[in-house]
Amino acid sequence: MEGSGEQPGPQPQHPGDHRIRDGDFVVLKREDVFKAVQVQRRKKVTFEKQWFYLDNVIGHSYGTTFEVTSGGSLQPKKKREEPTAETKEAGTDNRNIVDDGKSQKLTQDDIKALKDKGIKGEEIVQQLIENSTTFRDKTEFAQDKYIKKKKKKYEAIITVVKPSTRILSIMYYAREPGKINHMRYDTLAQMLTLGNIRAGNKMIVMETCAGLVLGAMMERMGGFGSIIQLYPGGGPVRAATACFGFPKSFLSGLYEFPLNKVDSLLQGTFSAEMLSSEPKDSALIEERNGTLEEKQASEQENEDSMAEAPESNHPEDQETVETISQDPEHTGPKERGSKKDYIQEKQRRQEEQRKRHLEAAALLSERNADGLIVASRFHPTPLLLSLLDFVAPSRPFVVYCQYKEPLLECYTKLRERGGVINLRLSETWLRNYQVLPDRSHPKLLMSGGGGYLLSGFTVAMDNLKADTSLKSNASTLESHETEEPATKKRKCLESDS
Amino acid sequence: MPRPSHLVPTGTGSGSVSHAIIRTIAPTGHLHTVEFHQQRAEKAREEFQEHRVGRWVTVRTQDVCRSGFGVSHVADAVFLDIPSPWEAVGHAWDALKVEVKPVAALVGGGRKGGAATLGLRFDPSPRLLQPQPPPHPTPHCGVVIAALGPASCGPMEGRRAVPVHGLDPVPGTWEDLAQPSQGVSGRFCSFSPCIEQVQRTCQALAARGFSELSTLEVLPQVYNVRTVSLPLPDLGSGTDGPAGPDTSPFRSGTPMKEAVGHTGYLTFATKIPG
Repeated sequence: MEGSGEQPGPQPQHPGDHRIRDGDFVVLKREDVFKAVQVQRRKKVTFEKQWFYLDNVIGHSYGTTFEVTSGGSLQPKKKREEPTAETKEAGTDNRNIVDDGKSQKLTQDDIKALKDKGIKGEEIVQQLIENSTTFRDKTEFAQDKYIKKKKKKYEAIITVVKPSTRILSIMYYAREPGKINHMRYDTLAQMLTLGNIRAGNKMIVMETCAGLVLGAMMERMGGFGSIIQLYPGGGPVRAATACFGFPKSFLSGLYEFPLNKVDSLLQGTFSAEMLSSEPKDSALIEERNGTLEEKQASEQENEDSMAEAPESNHPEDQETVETISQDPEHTGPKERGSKKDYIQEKQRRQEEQRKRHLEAAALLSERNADGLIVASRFHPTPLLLSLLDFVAPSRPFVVYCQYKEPLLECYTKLRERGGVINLRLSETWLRNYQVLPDRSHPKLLMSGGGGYLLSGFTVAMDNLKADTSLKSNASTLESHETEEPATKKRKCLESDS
Repeated sequence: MPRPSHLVPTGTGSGSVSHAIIRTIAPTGHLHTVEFHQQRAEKAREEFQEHRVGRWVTVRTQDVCRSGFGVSHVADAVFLDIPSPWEAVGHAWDALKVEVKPVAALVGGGRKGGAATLGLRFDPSPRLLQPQPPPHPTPHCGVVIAALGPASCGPMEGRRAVPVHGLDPVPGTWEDLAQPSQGVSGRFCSFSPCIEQVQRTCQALAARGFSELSTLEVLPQVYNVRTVSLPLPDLGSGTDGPAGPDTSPFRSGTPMKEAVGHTGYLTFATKIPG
């Protein structure tokens, strides 16, 4: 670790770096709902059934809370002191409270009228409390719960926070789990640790999680080291990666290489000619470079503009990320002065892409990567069996799979292949709690739905022969009762060498 | 902060957590750790040197509940693993940043115990051939850890995110300072085995002005991979089925442990200066 990694060029320190700036990638937060957007003046943003402009957040610190006022403007909201000490009139239990639906004297129309008048959410909640016949009979706990519920509905408080792996992974899991193969955030956290992701590493990643895993790795590595992303189809999808708002300097260590050329690379038949640009590539250049341009990825799910659909439960409607209209770097196609310029620009980019691919191929061919991360919708076994060859011995690898079964097979195949130790198939369960005086209890237990991990370490193949008692392919299952004897045998070998 | 999982692998009072954090924040971050037990603090210092990570960590010997962390307004994150975290909440607030300056992650830890189940592997150097196997649970010891970015203006004016839990970069991302760095929000995390401790800590956090309180528990489950073949029952028809007296074998991932134990609760909070 000492002195490891390349250093991005020294930058002057900017005071006030905690302030929101025009063009920043931020995340809007309301209660536990998140949405990633880019700050752009005069651009309408919808979030949680409200629309507004982000102009007013510019200059404020991250973490500032705003209220949506009439006309779609955001006003900073001061942290109110909770009036906790007031003794409220409250009942002891609910035996006399009848739920007839008539305890609230304000009608829907009344409330709407209040809203239209521009009355603040706080005020509306107050009105509701005053007009509730049963409020003072409720127990204190019930009153708290009631107030919380009304506040949630009528107080439109939005916080602007800086994107981070934590926030984005929570957001994606809640809103678009399909895009990330249902990888829950704690599972992602495990991956980063088991994979020993850190500055200075040379990592190989193959993911189809919208670039979330890639982003998490980049964040951890901080621009130090390098990452080679292998991608299926025409180009890597990096919608989530863009949400992080990484500086451009991070891109210098980021490479990509087409998955369908991996075999040739491993067999030594790869050559530069194989990288002639396919028609699909040009359409995906912007995506490759991490912008949120709306482009149809040929084999990927539709990553384009996801607007927020209020109460809709359709995954394809729900949108997590606001479209970024344009990445400053790629104004070419939109501003074409002439068709010729456009074509030249396109060719230039294709040439650059080709160069990058060649550089990536060279890096891969060294077969000395510091780790491998796989998290995709594809069956993990063939990926592992091939990609591990690019990894140096004594390095970690982690494979994520939404399902356990493919990892069972992967485990077995890896045992046959040899060159790996400390194989571990795991899962994490996540349980959250409500902690309140006299009211503490667990809320939800999330298990089984967060995916599984197979991790291990590579070792030099010479010292450890593949376990010859394991026959390959289909016969594996028939030839054994259990795997235990094989593992023990391996351990003996290890201690001898 | 997120999903802790990685938090803690036990280990020794020297702090697997410390090592994990150092691994994460190097080369531009810094860790401050507080240990009130003289001997353990010394041992920790030795180990950091031995593992060649000494320059990213400072070990202080003091009682964090009484005297705090020894740094103020510099930390991006604080982690506590001590018996009475509510007593350290105020100090944690003071230690956390108000403005973004060199990134700091402050992590305070006390006993280790809980970490046990989280199997973290630390590889201090790529040159090491042997990976560290997940350490075994050890008795409690007190280690408090913190991390702080480079105080001086060196060529690497960077900040380092401190993903204490592997997910949260914590305010202060990376190198490029042209990028507004991770905001002002400092993150707090406390690990406690007992719910009563959690309750008191939450109360103290709320009273002190922390927001986004969240308590959770991460339970790892490890599976054995087994090939299993179940015998077919004899229903009287006499002849064996096509597969013989047993069914075709199948692969199964069976839990390694019958029951998943509890180690502790993780309580997170954010400091957003009002």
